[in-house]
Amino acid sequence: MTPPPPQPADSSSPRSVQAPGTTIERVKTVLRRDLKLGPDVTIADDMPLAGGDFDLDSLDMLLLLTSIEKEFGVRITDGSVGREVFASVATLGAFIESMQPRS
Amino acid sequence: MDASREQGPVGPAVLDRLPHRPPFRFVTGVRELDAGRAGRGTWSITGDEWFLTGHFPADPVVPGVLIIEALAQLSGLVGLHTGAPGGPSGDGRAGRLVQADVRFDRGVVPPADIDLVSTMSRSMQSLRQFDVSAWTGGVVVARGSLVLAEVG
Repeated sequence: MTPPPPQPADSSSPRSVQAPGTTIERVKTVLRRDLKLGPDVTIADDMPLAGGDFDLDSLDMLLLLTSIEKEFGVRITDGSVGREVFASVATLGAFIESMQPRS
Repeated sequence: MDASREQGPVGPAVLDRLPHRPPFRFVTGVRELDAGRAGRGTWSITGDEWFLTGHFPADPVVPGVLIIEALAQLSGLVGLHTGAPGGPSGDGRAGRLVQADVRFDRGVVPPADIDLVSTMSRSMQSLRQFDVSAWTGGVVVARGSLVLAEVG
C-alpha cells in the first residue's frame, strides 16, 4: 500500500482574514465572527468572556484560541493559557500582545 | 524512543482500545501511533458494508459523515484511548465528538482503502483538538479539524 503523503502545511485552515485596528479591536472582530454576533451588539473591553453575556464554555475557548492563532499568526501552547486569560476582552488582548514578537 | 510511540505496523489489538465495535468500528488498521501526538490508520472498504446498500442503491458512495467518524476514532486512539496506565479513557470508556469542521474534496467509491491521518493540535481541560485528513491513492478526500471530549 502506498503511504499517504504528508499533510499539506495549511490543510484545514481557511485563509486568515486580517482585521484592521488595534489588538482589542481585532479580538472583537474575531469574537463577532466566531460567536455570530450581529453588528449592533456592543462589546466592552471589560466584558467577561466566561459568565456574563458571552458565557463561553471550554469548547468555545478552545476554538477561539485557534481563531486567534490564525488571526494574529501566533502559536499558543497548551500550557501558556489559563482561564484568567479569558477574564475579559482586554485580558485576552493583553495576552495576545505578550505572545507577539516585539518589532 | 518514547515508550508510548508505536511505529510501523501496529498490532490489531490496539483497535480494541476503542469502545466502538463492529459494525460501527471503521478504523480497520493502525500503521503508526504516537500517543498524545499523531497517528496513521486505514479504513479498508470492501463494498459489502451495510450502509452502502442504501447509500446509494446501484451507486455506492462512502458517506462523508462516516469518514468523519473514522477520523474521530483514529483521533481517539491518538488522544484518548491511549492505553497508558491511569491515562484518560485508557480503559475503553467513551469519548465524545463535540465539534467537527471538515471539507470533502472528493467522493470515495468502494472498494477503497482510505488512509487516515490525525495530529493532536491542542489539549485543554477535557478537550482534545485534532487536525485530520483522509486520503485514497495519495489524493486527499477530506481534511479539517475535530474536537473530542474525554467522558467520565
